[in-house]
Amino acid sequence: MVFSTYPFLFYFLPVFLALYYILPKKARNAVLLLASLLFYYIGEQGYALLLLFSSVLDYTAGRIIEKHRGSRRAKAALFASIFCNLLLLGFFKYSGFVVENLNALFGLSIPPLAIDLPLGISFYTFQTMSYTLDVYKGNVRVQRNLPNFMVYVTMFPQLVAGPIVRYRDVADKLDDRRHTWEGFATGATRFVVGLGKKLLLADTLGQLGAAAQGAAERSVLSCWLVVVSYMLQVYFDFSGYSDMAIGLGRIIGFSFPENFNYPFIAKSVSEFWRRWHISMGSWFRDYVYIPLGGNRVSPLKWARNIAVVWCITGLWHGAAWNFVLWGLYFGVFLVLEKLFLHKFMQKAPSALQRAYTLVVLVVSFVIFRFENVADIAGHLQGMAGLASLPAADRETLYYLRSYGPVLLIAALGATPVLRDLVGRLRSHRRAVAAIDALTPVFTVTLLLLAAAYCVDGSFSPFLYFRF
Amino acid sequence: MRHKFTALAFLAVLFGIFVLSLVKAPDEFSASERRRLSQFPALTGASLLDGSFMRDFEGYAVDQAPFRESWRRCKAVFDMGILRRLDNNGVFISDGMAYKIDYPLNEASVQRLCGIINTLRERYLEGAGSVWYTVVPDKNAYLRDSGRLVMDYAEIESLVRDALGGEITCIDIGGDLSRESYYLTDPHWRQEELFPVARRLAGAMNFPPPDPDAYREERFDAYYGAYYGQSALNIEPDEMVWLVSQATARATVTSAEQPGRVFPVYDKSQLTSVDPYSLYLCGPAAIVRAVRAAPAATGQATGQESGRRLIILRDSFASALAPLLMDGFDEIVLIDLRYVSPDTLAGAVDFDGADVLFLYSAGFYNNCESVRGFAGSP
Repeated sequence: MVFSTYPFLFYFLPVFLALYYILPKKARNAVLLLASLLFYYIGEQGYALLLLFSSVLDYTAGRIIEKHRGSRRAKAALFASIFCNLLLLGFFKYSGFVVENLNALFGLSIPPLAIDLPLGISFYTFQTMSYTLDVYKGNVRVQRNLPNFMVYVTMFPQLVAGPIVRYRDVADKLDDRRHTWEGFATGATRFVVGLGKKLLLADTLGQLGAAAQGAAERSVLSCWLVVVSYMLQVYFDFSGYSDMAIGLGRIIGFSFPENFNYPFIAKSVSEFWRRWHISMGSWFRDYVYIPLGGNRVSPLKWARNIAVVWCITGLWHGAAWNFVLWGLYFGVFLVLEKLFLHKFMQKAPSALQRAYTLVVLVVSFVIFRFENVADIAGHLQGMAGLASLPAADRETLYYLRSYGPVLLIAALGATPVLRDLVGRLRSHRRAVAAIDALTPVFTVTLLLLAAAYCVDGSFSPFLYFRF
Repeated sequence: MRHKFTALAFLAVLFGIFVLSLVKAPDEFSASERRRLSQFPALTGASLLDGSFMRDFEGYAVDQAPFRESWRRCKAVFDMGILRRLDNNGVFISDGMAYKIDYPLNEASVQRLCGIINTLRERYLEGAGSVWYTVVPDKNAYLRDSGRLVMDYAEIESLVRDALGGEITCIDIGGDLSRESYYLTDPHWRQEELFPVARRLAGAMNFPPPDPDAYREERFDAYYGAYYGQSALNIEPDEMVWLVSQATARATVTSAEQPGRVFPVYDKSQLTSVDPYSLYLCGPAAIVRAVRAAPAATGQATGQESGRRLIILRDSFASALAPLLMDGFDEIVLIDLRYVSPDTLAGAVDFDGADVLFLYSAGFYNNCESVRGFAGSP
């Protein structure tokens, strides 16, 4: 099921909220668990069993680790948990990729496995692995209540597209959480903002990208428009989903970690990754990079660590070589920045630092969008004006005029300008009253507008579902 | 207090729409979108297990949303009014008329349809009378707004002329039409504006031109054209006019798909159907025959028989035009290759001695994927 659909907004959500708040407090976790399983079942049917299996597996591993702490059994339980999670992820996400490459390398003809990727598997396997690792390291207390643990794993607001919520972020709230009007209201507004980002901006930018990509004649302008609209689409799609997840979490008393912090204003690639998909970046940092030794090792090992982490980061995004290339591309810039580029760039004006980062990002999104290397190279050549293309074409100019205001709104929305403006206004008493009065109007208007887009639009899944 | 108000407003919208969705009786049909709406899907064990129930339920929920038309209009107004989009779902309004973007020129499609026409001529039209073609201009060709994405229609006509012109005579009707010849909410032309076209054809094909005074107008004032629903914008429905003469009143119409049934030239029962344009000559149908009948009182020949038959290979534009040609022909046969394979025409239609007109719109040449080709050809 998708948040930005009419059935979710106007059937599932009201029924869930009614049951959640009307039934006694003791029953709330049960309502959340059942709703989450139903939410997943509606979209994935049989794969709901996989989710249950993963929950029970890691719950059991956690209990064994606790019971036999310090012994080989604890290590074996941790190993079994990690192995099974990676096996599930590997089988469902990467078996096709492996078969394809084996066939290509050795001239084999192994038939590809006809399996669909279970929704959110990349997210929930990472969550459960972080749990067993944290229990093993003694960073969190084990969860003894299976239903409560299952609530953590299956919780529908963040189940299918993150943020990657670590157990320690929600452990206390699984047992006891406060429900306040403030939490509900700020959660509702955040949810609606995310809905608006997805339906009003991301989907419209997706249409622009598809139109520019499908233009009868390619031009330098069409090449740029494809990438710029894609960058913004991915950002608003994914950050919109994260907003919805965080908002829904607040509505029911949870506090999920932030996942985006205006990444396109970053002054360096390393800063970009502290602002983009924060929960994933910190996961890889804490569970892969630092255990490998981080940067407190010899330069050679450090380079190896960077290569491993960014290779995996790329593969996490998709089972294709362009994603590996994409990850390594970032790895190279991170190494260069660490070695000298960052020091060098710091002397440059802020605008130049941001321009450098944006150029690196634009190229990265070309790699991210096109699966094959020839297409990537062709598109980059087109953008650079090296493919003998006209500067602009009539069709793309029409799309630019038609979607120009949306592009501008999106570009502005990708910066903290509006947030800062509201922040500044809040220092004036009258403005505070006006903002407070307008917040419910804004929330309801945006919700109604989103409903209008739901009714008019066709099905449009979130981009990050495929990861 | 403010938080409580925001939360309650949010809940009011969610629960308000939820309750309205539950109590609203399902509609069967959307007149503006000209389609049947999804109904509540069958709830079975199998449909629950394979996920089809929820997929179908999503379609049902959206189709049956309360105030559906208002939602769609709200989105269109926001898109075009606030976000300044130049079109909504590819449809835009200029000077009160709805247009749909058809871009770019699909040369392969034009060549394919021309290829089918040429093969048809070679196979079936050896013994036919005269053969003509005409390209009906798209209404976008008369668009006065230069900032729109409009195809090069002259290029389509040029491609068709190059492909057919050597063997088939062209009748150029572009100058006989204007923006006003078309419906505001639909791509089709208005029958009451087609006398100049009919006169042009009469001159080229050598039959008596229709006399406008011999026709009386009948009207339907709530014609929601195809673009009305797609645009979702607040535009007035069209008035549909059809022209009745002695010839059209007496003529009988049969459709190969409904053997044994006889229809009038204008079937008013279609005005409440999915596509009211089907009023004209059975609408979209494989093979339609309109036969000019003798006066009912005498059953005798009138002396006005021309002895001529006309076969029109056509798209939907011919339906409104053909009734104006009935004074010139004893029988008009309309063939729509979207619904009948050209391979089967030999046994179904007698081409010998008949005049033949290929009448397709420019948009049809550009998007002819739905046309059935000859076996073994693309």
